[in-house]
Amino acid sequence: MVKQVKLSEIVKPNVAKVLVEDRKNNVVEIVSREDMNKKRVDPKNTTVIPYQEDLIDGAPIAEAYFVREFPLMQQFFQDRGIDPVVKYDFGTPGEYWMEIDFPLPSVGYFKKDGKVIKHKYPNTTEPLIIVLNGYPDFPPVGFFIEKRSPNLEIFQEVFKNHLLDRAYFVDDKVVEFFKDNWYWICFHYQDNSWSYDRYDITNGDNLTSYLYAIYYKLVGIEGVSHE
Amino acid sequence: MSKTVIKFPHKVYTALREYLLEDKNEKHAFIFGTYVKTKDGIVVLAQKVVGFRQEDIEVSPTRVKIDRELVTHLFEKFVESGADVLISCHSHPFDYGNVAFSHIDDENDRNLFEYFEKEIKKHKKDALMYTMVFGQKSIAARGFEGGEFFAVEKIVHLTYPIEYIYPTNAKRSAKNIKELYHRQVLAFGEEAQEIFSNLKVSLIGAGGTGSILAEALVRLGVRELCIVDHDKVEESNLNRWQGGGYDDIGRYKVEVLQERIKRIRKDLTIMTFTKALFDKEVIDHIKDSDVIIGAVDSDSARFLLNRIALCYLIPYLDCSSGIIVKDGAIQRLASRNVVVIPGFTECFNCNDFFYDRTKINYEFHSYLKKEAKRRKYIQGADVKSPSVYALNMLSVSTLLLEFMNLFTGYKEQLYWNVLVDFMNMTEEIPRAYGYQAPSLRCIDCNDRLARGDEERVWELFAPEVV
Repeated sequence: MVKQVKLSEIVKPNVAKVLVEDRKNNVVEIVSREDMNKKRVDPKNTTVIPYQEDLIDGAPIAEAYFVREFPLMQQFFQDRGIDPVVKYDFGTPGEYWMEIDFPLPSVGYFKKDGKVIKHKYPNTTEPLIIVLNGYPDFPPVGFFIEKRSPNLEIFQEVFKNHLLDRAYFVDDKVVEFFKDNWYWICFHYQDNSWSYDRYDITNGDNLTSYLYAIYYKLVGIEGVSHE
Repeated sequence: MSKTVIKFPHKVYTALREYLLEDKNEKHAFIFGTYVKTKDGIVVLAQKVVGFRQEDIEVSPTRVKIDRELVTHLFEKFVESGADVLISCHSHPFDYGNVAFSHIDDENDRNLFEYFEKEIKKHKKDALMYTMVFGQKSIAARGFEGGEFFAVEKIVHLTYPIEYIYPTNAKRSAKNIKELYHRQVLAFGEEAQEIFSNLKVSLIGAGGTGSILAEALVRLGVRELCIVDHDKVEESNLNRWQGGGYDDIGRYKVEVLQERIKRIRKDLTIMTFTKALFDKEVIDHIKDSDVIIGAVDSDSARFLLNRIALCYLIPYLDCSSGIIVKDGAIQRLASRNVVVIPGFTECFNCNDFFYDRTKINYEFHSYLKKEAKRRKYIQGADVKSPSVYALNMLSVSTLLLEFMNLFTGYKEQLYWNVLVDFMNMTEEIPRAYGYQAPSLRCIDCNDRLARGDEERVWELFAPEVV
């Protein structure tokens, strides 16, 4: 089932409740910010995560961690002046994905024939579908971009031969929609370099760091691709 | 009456015992868990302990009084949770012998079971309930069916060595140890032999190492085996495929193995699958195993077996060997064994060094896997590796010594990971790594532990594209 959230509406500037994980004593509890400040928890042994009320026992693990990333994603978008709607689906195993309006830098660079080319993106945002199969144990291995996108030409230059004219979802029984209208861009972390810390999702790689990696690539900073 | 086994991860079992028996007062706690149905019963997977704060309850050495409102609140929590098994546990801290349910327990439990049937099943129709009483040295455990109590057959505590606890209210059948195992009994004793003969072992892979393992397990005393391998015997297998001959070429390996090991012992229960592991029917048959042995040559199979082990609380022993040849000369000739006790030792996913993660990541995406092979990011399964009988035997021998250790505890230390490189025996390898606790960062060891069917492991990888 596809879900849709507007990050700015669910991630409050001051999250009322936080999930406190006391690693030393192996205790997890949900407390208000106020109580947590009173407790003066030892930061060395404790992880504090903004708590989302809709995290429930029995939810798919991938979705539970995905929801925990909302505040981080919100920060990424907010810093770029975007207030996007995030669509996601963790209902069908093997077909996990999120769709976002991805912010594009105003200017970017790519190399061509040994020269550095400066360019501008025609649009300020680009709808991308990021595939999350294997998340959070494994990083995303790429994303989709619409074939009709005005940014496509520059994406082709930036990602070069990592752009594939075929969506793997076609083989995996999902929608015809992807087949004709979307390109697949192979863009992922190098071998074994993804490190997701379930105790402190800010301490290590996460989906937001992947969004940053795409952004840096679009700006022209070499990052995590296979090239 | 359903044959019931309750499995406890070490952390849950010790937390429960410590809470119930921390002082001389009787205590009460609940376990939330899930279960899997097997062909002849139920395996319960304990997930977490839910206790009450001391200040909210009244305790004395002989009774514990819990406010009705608190119990109602707990039932509400159970209904809201993902759990579908509730175990009501209390202690008799004064009891140092064979603990038993008292008449008051009988009355209370009967009321509790009836309330559960009437009220809780309105919200969770398939939910199950059990009760347990803990003495200092023993446990009694039971369920309720058709207005009668029935005993839980066995409690499994996943630690080292694996602890099998037989509830005091359960009837145990008389030992029936064959003369065949006499020399082993002299080493390990009758109790250990009985454990071997009651194990259901799932052997994944019936190739070079799997064929040796199957025979060795039967000779050890294992009576119930599930063997999974979709390959057929080829001429190039015969250098190492134990017991195989030219007449077997073209036949399924599992079928040939089945015939062969049945000659050793006729009363074996053997289930064979000529399918790949990535199949719900296969996983349904192995998820109630007492132990899984992996004799596979792919990381994605190890990844899946590791996840099955963690989700269903099944110890997983991995047996592998490998030869590295460079420029016509052997560089490495090694065997490796890994023992995963869910929630007690590290698992394959706790570390980065066991897997080629890029390759596994592509397994989630069938089209990409094809593309990755084309671009030579990963190798296809059709690439043949060098393999010799002697090295496979070495790997099987060290693994089975650890297998015996896991159930008998004949030596002080569990070897979690044993690496023997026959090329460097005088230097720092062979190496045996001792006990390693699960990583706090590991999602498998923490979040997926005892999740059972809810994790839907059979849907983990994308279907293979032909």
